[in-house]
Amino acid sequence: MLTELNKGIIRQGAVVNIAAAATATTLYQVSNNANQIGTKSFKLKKLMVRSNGSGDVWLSIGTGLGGAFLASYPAIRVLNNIDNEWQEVEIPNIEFFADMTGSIPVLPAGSLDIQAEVEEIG
Amino acid sequence: MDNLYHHAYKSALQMPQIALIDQYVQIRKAGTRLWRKILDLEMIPPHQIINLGAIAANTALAKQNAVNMALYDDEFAQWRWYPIDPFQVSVYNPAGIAKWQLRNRQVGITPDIITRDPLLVSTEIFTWEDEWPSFEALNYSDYAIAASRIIAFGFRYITAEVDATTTARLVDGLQPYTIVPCSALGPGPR
Repeated sequence: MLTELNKGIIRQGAVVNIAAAATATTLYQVSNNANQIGTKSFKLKKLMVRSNGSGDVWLSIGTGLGGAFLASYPAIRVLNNIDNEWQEVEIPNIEFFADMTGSIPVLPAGSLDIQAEVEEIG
Repeated sequence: MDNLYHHAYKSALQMPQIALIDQYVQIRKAGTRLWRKILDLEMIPPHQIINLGAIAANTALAKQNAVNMALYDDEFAQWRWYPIDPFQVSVYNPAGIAKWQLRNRQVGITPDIITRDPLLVSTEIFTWEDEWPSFEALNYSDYAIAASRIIAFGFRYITAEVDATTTARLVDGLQPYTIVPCSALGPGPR
């Protein structure tokens, strides 16, 4: 499998901490400045997740906050005490036109640190 | 954005000169035009022409003069350029005249221009002597950027004034010449 040639600009979101179950949190914000030329979108290219004493948990990536969260991918399993990394060859090529958010349905303890790398297009 | 650096050399190697030695040009600027003959030319390698600075999220910086684009007397330059950080650039030359101004918007350049237009033909601008352009940077994203750098390259041309006889032939269309738009004015009757 070949990685896709870049059509856009590689960017990174901040390290985001999610400490509450079923609380969708923004992982990367789409650029929508009033003075930018055109509509921007982005694709998730890389994901780095650390479980801070949470045990093994499911993480959903999608759009929307709170009750409006809608998963864009199947949930991924984040393992405790191990590097959890996904790269573009493993990630479906979904294009986001809204902020990308993450949600943990069940979080027995601790929290997750999450950082996303995206390719911004437009 | 170091992954965007190496593109500049591929672009520069395939950049054609707008005119050659011993050819005539008409330098068009705001309010005037000059007839010139090209005596010599030299390539300017790709380099960082200006860093407009750090920009907070969703913020535009004030226009900044690109003083490092200034040339000696009797020279004009042909530039191609692109931003290597994720911001949008609007060009003015001089500072009061917007480049690529349409009826409803001024077209700007973003770093993905290098993948859409690898030779950067669509970014080409010209400057005369020390009449540098101004750049206005917009960080359109929700994330701050630490720098807003522009890479530029091109050619500088050393020119001389044209004698009255040749000028008359140029004006009458008897002598071929190339138009060099050294300001941001759009096309139209001069």
